[in-house]
Formats: sequence, structure tokens, C-alpha cells
Amino acid sequence: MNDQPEWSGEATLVEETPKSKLAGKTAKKNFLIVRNDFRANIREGDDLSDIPDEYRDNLKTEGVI
Amino acid sequence: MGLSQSPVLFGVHQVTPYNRITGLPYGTLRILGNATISLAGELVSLTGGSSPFPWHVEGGAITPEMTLNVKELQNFLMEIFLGKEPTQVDDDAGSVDALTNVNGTSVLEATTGIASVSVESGQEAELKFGKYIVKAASATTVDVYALTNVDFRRGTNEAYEDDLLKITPSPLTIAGSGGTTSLANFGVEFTGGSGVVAMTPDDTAEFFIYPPSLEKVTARIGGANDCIPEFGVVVTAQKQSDGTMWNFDCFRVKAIGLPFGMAEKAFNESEVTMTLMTDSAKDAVMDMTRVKPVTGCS
Repeated sequence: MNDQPEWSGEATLVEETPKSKLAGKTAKKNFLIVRNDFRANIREGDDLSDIPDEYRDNLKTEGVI
Repeated sequence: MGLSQSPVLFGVHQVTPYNRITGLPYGTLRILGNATISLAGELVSLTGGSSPFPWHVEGGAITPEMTLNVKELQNFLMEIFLGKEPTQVDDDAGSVDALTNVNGTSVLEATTGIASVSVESGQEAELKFGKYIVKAASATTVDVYALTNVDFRRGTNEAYEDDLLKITPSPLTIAGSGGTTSLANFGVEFTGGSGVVAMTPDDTAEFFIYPPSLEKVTARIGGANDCIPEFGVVVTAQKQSDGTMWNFDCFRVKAIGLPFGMAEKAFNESEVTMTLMTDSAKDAVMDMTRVKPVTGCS
């Protein structure tokens, strides 16, 4: 007697992209980030989803979020 | 037999200050405009009554001085005239002095400001000589100013952004958690503080950049504890065409101050007046020696 369940079909691997901590946030004021090769000219009302997480503290301190 | 040839003194060959304790030379000076030893004295006259003439005259004080005009700036001149021996090192890779706060204390701050400034690896050829000021433009950004553009053509050409000598087109973002921010085309990078950066706008700090150098000489002059030493000086005149040579050994000399002249299209000439003193052990101020070798000028 076989106690093992029978599998059918193919398994699908779903990769989850880590969600940015800035996803869904909008800028409260204008702010320019210039650091090494990264440059972002943020305008008030801009969606900040594309801004790397490493600038979250900067944006918070500057009152952008 | 007629009169012998008169001794004459011509030109200056070399001035060599030496340490009075060890007798060892500090170095030597060859590019000289003048090294004149003046032993000018005064006469003290006794006058009185109706006579317009002195009744008696005796020797007064002698002011023993050496006036030096030197057109080279050897390191030891700063030691014997300014009391500070410069530090000289090879600096093949270039370097940057540590960041120091100037106004306020928030720019150089290990946790909430810039933790340090350093040479960016692989960017040594971009290091441009001079003093720089970092100003907090906002809580997390800085502007940088260069106090000279003398070296702006080293590596990638650079230029000022405005009349206030700013070199950053836009304020640079300082990242926290030890992140680095390059000062592009100047070869240095700022390392952010370990925490959340929060500087006080308008606070400032300074640093100094040195390009890769065969010699790097630095001296901080004017410290309250700097000591200007007494020293000895040997002066030799130019050897004359008949071979005559003069040597003056001033046993105990003191001088203070060293001008650094930067006139338009002219080499520096530093004028220094030294006072000669009595060496008690030798019971003298100086030795004068003149020789006329039998072989003449050779």
C-alpha cells in the first residue's frame, strides 16, 4: 500500500519582489538627491516607489515623507 | 720687493647654519643674494664746558648682525627662524587631511553627520591640491567649496560653479549607515555617520587634499610652545681667482621670522637679520679665517 500522495501537474515557483518601503508614498515637498551615480529630482506629489530604500532616512529627515 | 697684494673679499658662496649642541649642520644655503656680517660699533664721547670737541672717547657697544638674503626655502629655515621643523614625507598615493569642524559641530559627527573624508580608491589621479570647505546645505546634503583652483587641471578638468567658489553643481546627499558619497573629479569620498544623518544647515567643516607627491612638506607655525633655537653659522665667500677663500664661523646666532614673498613673476627673496652673541666657552663672537693657497685657484 502506498501512503504517499500522488502528485500531478507541474509546480510553479513564484518569486516575490521585495516591496520598497517607499512604495505608495508620495513626496510632500521638492527634494534633490545627488549621490555618486544616482540622481533623483523629486517634485512635490511624486510617487517615491522608484527611490531606493537607502534614501528613506534622508527623505524622512528632510520632511519629504 | 714691492707691496704685497691687498686682501679683498668677493661674493658669497655658502651659508651653513649648524646645531650648537652637536655641531652638525641643519643643511646649507647656496642661492644667496647677500650674507653681510656687520660689526658696527659706536663711540661714546665725553663732552662738556665750552669746547665743541670731545674731551675723551671710548668704545661703546657693537651691534653684531648678519643680514641674510636667501632665495631658497629649505625646510630647516623654518626650524631655526620660526621654531617649527616641517614634516616631510613621500606621499606617492596622495592623501587628504582629516575633516575638522569649523562652524558648529554637526558636519563632522560620527553618527549623525559625516564620519570622515578619505581618498576614493582608484581616484588618486583626481586629487586636486588645496583647502576645501564642506557646508551643510540641508540636514542631509552638503555643498563643497575650494579655496584655490591652482590645481583644477589635474585629472579631470574642473571649474568653480559660482563666485563663492562652490564646486558642487548640486548639493551632495550624505547617506547614513556608513554609506559613501563621492566628490566627483576631486578624488575623495565622504563616509556618512553610522546613524541617521541630520546636520545643522550652514554648519561647516574643512579638509585639505594632497595629490600624489614626491615630497609633502607641512608645518603648523606659530604655536605657543614652539622654540626658536640659537644656532651657529658658517659663511664662506666666493673663491677668488687667485684661490683666496674666506670663512666666517659665527658661534652663537639668533634670528626670528622668515618672510615668504610672493610677488608677481618673481622668485621669493627672504631677508633675515641675525644677531651674533658671545659664546662664553670660546670667549668670542666669531672666527674669521682667510687662506691663499699656494696652488692658487684650483
